[in-house]
Amino acid sequence: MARHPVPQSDPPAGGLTERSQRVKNSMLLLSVLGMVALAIFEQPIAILLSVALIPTMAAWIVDDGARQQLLRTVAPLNFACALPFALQLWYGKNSSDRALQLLVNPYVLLALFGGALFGWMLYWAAPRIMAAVVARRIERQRRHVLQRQAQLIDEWGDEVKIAP
Amino acid sequence: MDRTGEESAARVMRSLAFEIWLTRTLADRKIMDGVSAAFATRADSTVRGPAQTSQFVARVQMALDPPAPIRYRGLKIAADSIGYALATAMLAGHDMSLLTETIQARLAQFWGGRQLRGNPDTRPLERLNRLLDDTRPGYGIERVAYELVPGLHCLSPFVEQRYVDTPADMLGALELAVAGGAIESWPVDRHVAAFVANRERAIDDGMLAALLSQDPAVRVLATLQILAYLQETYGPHSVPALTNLFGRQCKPAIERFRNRHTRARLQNGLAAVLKENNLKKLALYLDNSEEQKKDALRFHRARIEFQSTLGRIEKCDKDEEELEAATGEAGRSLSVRLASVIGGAIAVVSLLVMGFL
Repeated sequence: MARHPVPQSDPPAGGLTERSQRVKNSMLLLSVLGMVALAIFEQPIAILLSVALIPTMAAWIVDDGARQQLLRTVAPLNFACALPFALQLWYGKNSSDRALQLLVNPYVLLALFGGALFGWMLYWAAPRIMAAVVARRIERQRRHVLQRQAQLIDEWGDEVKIAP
Repeated sequence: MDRTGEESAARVMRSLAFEIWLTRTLADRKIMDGVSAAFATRADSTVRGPAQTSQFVARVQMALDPPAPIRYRGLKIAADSIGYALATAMLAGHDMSLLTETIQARLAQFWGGRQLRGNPDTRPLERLNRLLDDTRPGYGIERVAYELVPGLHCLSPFVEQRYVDTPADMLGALELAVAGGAIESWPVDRHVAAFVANRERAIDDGMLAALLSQDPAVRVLATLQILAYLQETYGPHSVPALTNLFGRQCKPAIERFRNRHTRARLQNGLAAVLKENNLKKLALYLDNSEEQKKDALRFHRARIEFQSTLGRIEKCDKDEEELEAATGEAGRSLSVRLASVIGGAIAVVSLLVMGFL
């Protein structure tokens, strides 16, 4: 008998469930292992990433949501902004000095943390912008309905308010 | 015979001595049957007390002396002259209560049944009782008078002096009465209604009942329809005074339309219709059943729509209450998707710029 695949859906919003806590811990373990491996084989890149990914780590700590949406917003941008510098090290002068040189450059820091900051801002602003848009739509709809009510009363008098 | 005399007479009539006298001395079978009928009819009367005694005495009198006229309290009248007596009393403004009671007690029918010679047909009188019991305009004592005296002219104070004895003359007389200022509001009074209903069988019950309606619109339109019928059937073609009278009174007929635009349209077009001085056209203009149906249907739909707007406002309120929860989650999901897209784009652009792709 064919088995139907169980549909995968996002966990419900709210606090951490047992499953998501397990996933979070696994991610931590994998990250730590990855960083250790990177520290062993590619020390400069490990230095760069350990500083560059501070915002992602912070997001990992503060995000208690079941869907880890803060982490999922900040991490891609943070990684994307750190990627060019990691590649520079990988293909260029791959030394700890060079890594430290990059990390003290304010433009590099701005580029590294700017992406993460944008992620934080996106996470904070998106619900508010969406709320404002929806609220405006509701208000427009309400105004339209009230206008129609006034039209009906004007055309038929107050008796139109009585249910048929 | 006064009340005391009637009481004494009734006592005698109910006594055993009267019965003995009746059977032994008079010994007339038909008269005895008549007296028995008088005793039996007593229970049929709807009245109680002295009036019942008066009716009983009148019936026994009729049974004892069949050819004599009806004697009811102070009234002495031949059965076939009740109508004329009514008409005379109406014209003179006299009290008609004795005549009314005579009809209500069916004394004429009893008299007819007691006649030894001939057999007068009293069946039409039964119909009169029904008319008399009906208090609506077009019925009542006025209608009885017109039914009993076929040639009687209309006794309405509006047209009485013009001697309207056929419906053909009625509208012209009313027009003159309105033009002369004798009629200021309702041209169809109880007499006009009864006269027209008696002479014109096309004026149905519904139209007459509407004359008494509490709704001024229904009353105006019923009056208008009756007069429009007379104009269409007999003329005259133009009745400016009556048309203007209805023009002044037709506001309720317009107001009964629920739609403001329909009311405004009717009000605006009224002057042109009034200019034609034709009641039939005015009636058609104001009493358009198609227009009314359409108005009622549209009003019903408008009420349904209004109820739906209440539901929509309620939904807006609910959506507003749940706004933060709904948009918070959706906004955060959106931020995740945007971050993935932007992050991916940054990575691809970086790789392109650095020459890795």
